[in-house]
Amino acid sequence: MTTLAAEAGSGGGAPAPRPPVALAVPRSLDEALALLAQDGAAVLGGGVGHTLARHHRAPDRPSTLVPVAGLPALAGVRTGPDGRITVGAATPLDDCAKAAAIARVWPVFTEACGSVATGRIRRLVTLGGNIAAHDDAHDPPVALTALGADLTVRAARGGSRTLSVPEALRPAADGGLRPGELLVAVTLPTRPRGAATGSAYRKYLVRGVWEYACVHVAAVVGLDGEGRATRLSLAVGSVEGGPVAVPLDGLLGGRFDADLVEEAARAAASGTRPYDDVKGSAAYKTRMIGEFSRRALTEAAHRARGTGHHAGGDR
Amino acid sequence: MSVPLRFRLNHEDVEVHVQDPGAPLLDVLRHDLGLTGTKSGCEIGYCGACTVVVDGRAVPSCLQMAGLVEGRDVQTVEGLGGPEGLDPVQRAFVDKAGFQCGFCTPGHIMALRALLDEDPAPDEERLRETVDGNYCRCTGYVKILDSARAAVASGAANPDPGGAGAREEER
Repeated sequence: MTTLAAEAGSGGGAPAPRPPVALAVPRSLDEALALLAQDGAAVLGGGVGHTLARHHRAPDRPSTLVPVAGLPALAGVRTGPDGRITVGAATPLDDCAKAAAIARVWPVFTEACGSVATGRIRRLVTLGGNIAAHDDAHDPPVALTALGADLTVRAARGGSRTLSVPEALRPAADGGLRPGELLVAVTLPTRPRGAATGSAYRKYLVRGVWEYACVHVAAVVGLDGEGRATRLSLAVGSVEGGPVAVPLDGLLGGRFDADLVEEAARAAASGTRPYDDVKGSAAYKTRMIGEFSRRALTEAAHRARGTGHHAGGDR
Repeated sequence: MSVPLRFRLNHEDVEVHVQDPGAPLLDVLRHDLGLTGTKSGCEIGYCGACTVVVDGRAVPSCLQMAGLVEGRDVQTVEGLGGPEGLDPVQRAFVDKAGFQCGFCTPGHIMALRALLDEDPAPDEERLRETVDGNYCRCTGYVKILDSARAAVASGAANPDPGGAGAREEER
């Protein structure tokens, strides 16, 4: 372990606007978990969230950050013997967006990762950090909620557990990520055999580029040979308690047509609570959630049927 | 009260004592090292004025935590060129008048330097993608793109054997 920390108690001169942090750099996953088990320690991914947070005077900040982005155990995209793709939590979003293996199976995740900020920022941001930031405006967690991805979480004490994104983002007391725990990997499901499956991510940017979404929606659609819906997953971000998975089980088995899409879009609009901000009023966003749910579901179904790519048009 | 931070900066090993390893690299470059060629613009990673090259990749130094560059290779605009003259990317900006006020220029130059170190013959789309990462509020980008094309045409692949070009050869 390398420690980068100012000596305690030797302070002098003008007070810094924020207290300095210490970085305790682990050489292995086990060492990282041991460091994280200590009081006041917190995970550091790509560091973007922490660096941005310096603009805010957030009161209680951990004193020791444990950078995990350099750990080989958390790196890279691999396909397991069961065909499931596992993405290491330290994988930069840019690598997630460029992984051909992911794009082939789950374009919804590719599109969500690729829609974040700019290429230069995507190279700094890690997938695990993006999820663990607990920010409902982040894109990848919305896609992972629709997919039903598994998050593997480890701790020095208590071993390993598997959580969905909504579970991980709950308060620690309700089973969410706890202090001392480290998100190590994200595992995507396989596409079911016997059903045509498609997925799509739609993000509405008010200015068109480089900002957090006004509304963002991820959809996964499964269709049987008769064109009936065997899977309908829709997740919405930038809403209270988001990402929110919209329950659509009542529509399963129905023919996937414009009426079904309309009903699903209504369920998304009525089942989520967006908030007023500079990107739009809550009432406006509710209408846009309906619209972008339509677009995401329609595109996912096009992909399931193999009827071509219908990109863009998100303005 | 400070912390030693060691990294490679413009082809030399440096050790700088920083107050807070959680500070952005931008602040360490400008305030602790006095390297003010790297400009501070939006400080949220979008404008590109603070772009430097870390391990061969263009990064916004306002979002790059200083403590995380320990042991890594950092290049700023001060590391380009030398007694023999300007770096070919800088030369191209001068020849094509690719700037007006000049505030965004170091960021543009470092972003293009990183691109050309990785790909000596980028196509138009890659040039545009790269330039897209840097705000310029004076020009209409026409002369910036002209400069970028001129840099490619002049064979601006890194002339510096100790820099990122050496890493290119190792691949």
